[in-house]
Amino acid sequence: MFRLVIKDFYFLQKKMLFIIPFYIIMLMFLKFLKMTSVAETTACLVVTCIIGILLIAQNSFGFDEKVHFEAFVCTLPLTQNQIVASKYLVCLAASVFGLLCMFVLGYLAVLTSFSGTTAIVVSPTTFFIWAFMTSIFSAVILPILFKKGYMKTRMQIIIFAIVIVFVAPMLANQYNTLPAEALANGFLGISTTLWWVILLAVAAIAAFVSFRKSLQIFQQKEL
Amino acid sequence: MDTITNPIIRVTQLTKAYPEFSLGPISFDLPSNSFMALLGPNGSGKTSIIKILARVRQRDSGGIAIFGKDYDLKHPQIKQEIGVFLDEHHFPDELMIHELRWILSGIYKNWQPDLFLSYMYKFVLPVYRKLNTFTPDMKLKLGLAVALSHQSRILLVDEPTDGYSPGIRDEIMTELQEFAQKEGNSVLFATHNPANLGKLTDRVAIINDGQFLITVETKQIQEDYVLVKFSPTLFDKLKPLMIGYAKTKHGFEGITQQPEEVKRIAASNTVVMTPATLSDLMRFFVKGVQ
Repeated sequence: MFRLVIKDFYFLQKKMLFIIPFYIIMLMFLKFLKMTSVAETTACLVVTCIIGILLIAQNSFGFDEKVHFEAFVCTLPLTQNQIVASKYLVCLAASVFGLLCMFVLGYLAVLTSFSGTTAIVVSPTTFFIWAFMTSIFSAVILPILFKKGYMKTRMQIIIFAIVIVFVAPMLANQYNTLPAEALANGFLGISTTLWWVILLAVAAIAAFVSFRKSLQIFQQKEL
Repeated sequence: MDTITNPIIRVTQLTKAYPEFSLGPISFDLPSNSFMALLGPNGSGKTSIIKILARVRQRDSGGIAIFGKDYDLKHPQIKQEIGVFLDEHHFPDELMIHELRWILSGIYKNWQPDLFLSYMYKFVLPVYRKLNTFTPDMKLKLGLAVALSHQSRILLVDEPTDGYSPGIRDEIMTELQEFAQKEGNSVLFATHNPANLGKLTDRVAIINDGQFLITVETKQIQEDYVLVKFSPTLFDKLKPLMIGYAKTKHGFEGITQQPEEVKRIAASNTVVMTPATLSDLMRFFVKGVQ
């Protein structure tokens, strides 16, 4: 199964040349928006890096589709669980890579005076945003990709990605502008730690349900 | 169902329904050390059988046992022993052969890198070039090399040489023959063209409309079936003895399993009898009366 993941990374390494200029443009975009809030900047970076990488990871569906790779992979000594899980692992590995890119870009953002502290960039908040966004995005997109394929759904996926990229910093901004008294007892009366637990639980449930759905779709697929 | 002791593949009452076509129920055995052909026109169901056995498609009902064990989706290890060579290649186009080789070597536990490389030399396939620059001939040969490089004991083949030059066909068929001659190996080969089979097959199942019409040992064909050419005056008398017949320019021709009876009825009338070929069998079994 891990060799299937590596197979997708052979594709992805060829696409990485495009991602670097994409992030540089993103940095310039942040500069243009004059984002000074740490939370806003972080959210924007996390989401952009992760979604960008995930979009590329989902490109691997497109490569597979072009040559009907599923017809070949079914002949290999692998279970259907392993075949489906390999795609989830590709997305997970890609989003870890996105997280690493975010750390680098986060420090670059600090160096270019977007924010005054580096602590926020490598922080539990960043990690939980990463885990949540990765799970939700992949959980929604992967079953659709298994069912309809990349070519038919790529526009919807890109639109979904753009929505997330824009909505996440807006939410961060809203959160940031809440009066101090509203946050005194935690956001909505729930402590930060509990929020992390809730986010991780939602992410894990979404990933599990999504995997089961993808497996079901794959098992019923006629190749 | 024809029964063979300890078949390498045993298919029992296999069915698969499509909106416009139904396969089966079909039962057959593939013995060890054999080369069996599924012969039938396009759309007859032979590709479905190969793809169900290759796990590319799911069956609706029926049993499949390989090496005496149920062919279960949860136990894919049995596929280590099965090589699949389909009519079109499905390898990732963006990869190079050396990358594909590395991926497959981690999936097939009996992967033989030296054997695979020897095929690359033999077929003159460049290891460091993307597959999307390969010609269809090169991709076909790569497909065969992959199917033969993991110590499989069963080879499932689906119309691989259709549309290729006779030179390529001969090259492929030679490799298949070498594989089939190794102790314990078996080949199941689907084709619509009897000429593709040459003299390789031990057994042939003729299939049409999702059903097996006949399964026959190849060496028995010429002994058991006779092509008869006869004049229209004999038509009424010989018609009941014919499995299938067709009108020709000079009279009728058909195949029969009762040549002595044909001779007796024809008496002093002229009938021309020749041993039937695989093509004759397919023509008359599939098309019947024309």
